[in-house]
Amino acid sequence: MQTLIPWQQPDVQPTPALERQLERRVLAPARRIGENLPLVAITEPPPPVSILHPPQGGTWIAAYHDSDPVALARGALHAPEAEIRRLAQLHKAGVEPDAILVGHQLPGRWQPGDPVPAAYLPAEVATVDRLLATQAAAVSAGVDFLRTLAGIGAGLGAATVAGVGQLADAAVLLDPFVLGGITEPKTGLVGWVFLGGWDERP
Amino acid sequence: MSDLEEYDDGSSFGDFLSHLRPYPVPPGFRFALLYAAGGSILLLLAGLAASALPTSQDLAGHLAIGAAPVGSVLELFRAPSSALVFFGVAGLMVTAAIGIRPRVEGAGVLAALTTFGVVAGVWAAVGWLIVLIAYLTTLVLWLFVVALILGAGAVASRAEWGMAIVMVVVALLLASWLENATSDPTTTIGAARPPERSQSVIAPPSEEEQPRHLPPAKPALTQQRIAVESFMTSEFDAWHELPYVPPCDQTTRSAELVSFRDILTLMRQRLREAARYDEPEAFRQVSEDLERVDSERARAFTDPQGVYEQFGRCPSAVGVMVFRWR
Repeated sequence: MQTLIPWQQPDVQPTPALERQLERRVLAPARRIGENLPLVAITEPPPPVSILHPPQGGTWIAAYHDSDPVALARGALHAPEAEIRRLAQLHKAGVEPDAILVGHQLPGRWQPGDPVPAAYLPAEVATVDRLLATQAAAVSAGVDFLRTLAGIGAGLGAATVAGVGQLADAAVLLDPFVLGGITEPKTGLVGWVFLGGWDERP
Repeated sequence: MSDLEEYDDGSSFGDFLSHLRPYPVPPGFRFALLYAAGGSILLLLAGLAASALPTSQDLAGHLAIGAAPVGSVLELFRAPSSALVFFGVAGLMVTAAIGIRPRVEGAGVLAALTTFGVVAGVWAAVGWLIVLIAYLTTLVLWLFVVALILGAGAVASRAEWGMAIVMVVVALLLASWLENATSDPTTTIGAARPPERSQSVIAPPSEEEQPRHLPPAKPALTQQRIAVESFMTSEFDAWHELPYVPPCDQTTRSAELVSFRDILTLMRQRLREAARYDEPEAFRQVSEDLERVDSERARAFTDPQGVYEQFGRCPSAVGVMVFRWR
């Protein structure tokens, strides 16, 4: 998964001290269980909640896990079970970052104080709704097919167009991500390691 | 997720993990389950419906035209019936398993089951639609015969006797052809052709149950019996492939094959007795008759019309045997 981290500063290189800390507390324990975690950014310590509105649209929210407005609105941070198991294994292996930064991507412009869109609460509702829509479309297409067997083209054409339209909708993905940060005491810079991420479907 | 609370060890990562939750299953998931169960049941029913599609043999006695090609197409529709039934049952079990422990990750399986169920339903429905169309075609032809006869009556009432006679003749010819076509399980319009072996309406000669308390058969004769019986089977099969041309028709052929089958059954019984009581003469008689049958078939195969013209009878396996099997 390629996730663009909006706070990334590629020109900033980790100091040897930060490298050692990252290696000892994050990278080496992760490698022991076969995980090669990438260092994705080195930044100043970010504010508790950061909000960006990229030119291409949408909203990026990045926040420490205990001040994440999306998780607070939803009552919890939801993740796929497999991803939770993986993160738990990393913790068990000894991965021990100083801070956890959670990122959310929301379509549309979102400001602090705005309600988290109901359609994304929780996001998997949309998944099941989409599933139901797909199932209903399949049933409808079957019925239409039988009804219009004589004029086979029309029924199938409509069903295909509907299906393609739904696939196009489904291709719009949102990318929650989790970063683990190690702070270098001298400079205060934080090295962020990509711990995990997954897709959400609006 | 309560089992993650153990990770709340005071570290940031542990605290984060303790707040992670799997995506809850929304209420709409129940409908997804219902859809998937319906899809699985549809798969099952479609499999049963597809397996019940008529074969070429079933159609041959009822369809005036197209029994063979329709049968071939239906064979295609019938082919996946076992798989559909299997996946229907498996789908029900999977749906039940997902329903017992609802997980959003199972949504894809549920959607697939629903979709496959609909596709399978359409598949079976199209198969039966083809059957319906085929039967309707024959029905329409018969209705055309009736219409011709009624039309002839109407024309005759106006004293147009020529037209009335023509219509009656056409109706009779069409009716005769329809009757012949629907009673001939192996031929199609205007063409005599060898039927496929699987389409044979004449069952092969059956193995007779061995009587009890009989002396054991001689090993050499038993081996010979097995060889001769194998020859019988192949010969019986080969006669199914023999083309019949007019004036020999399927009625003659069916009767001949039934007689041949009965005689082969008698031959088998005789050979078993002969093997037990050491009677090689019986083997010689059977072999001679089978050789005659084989020669007749070879000649009829190359020149079926010539056989009829020479002997005044249709090619027949029974006809060339010495009369001792009854």
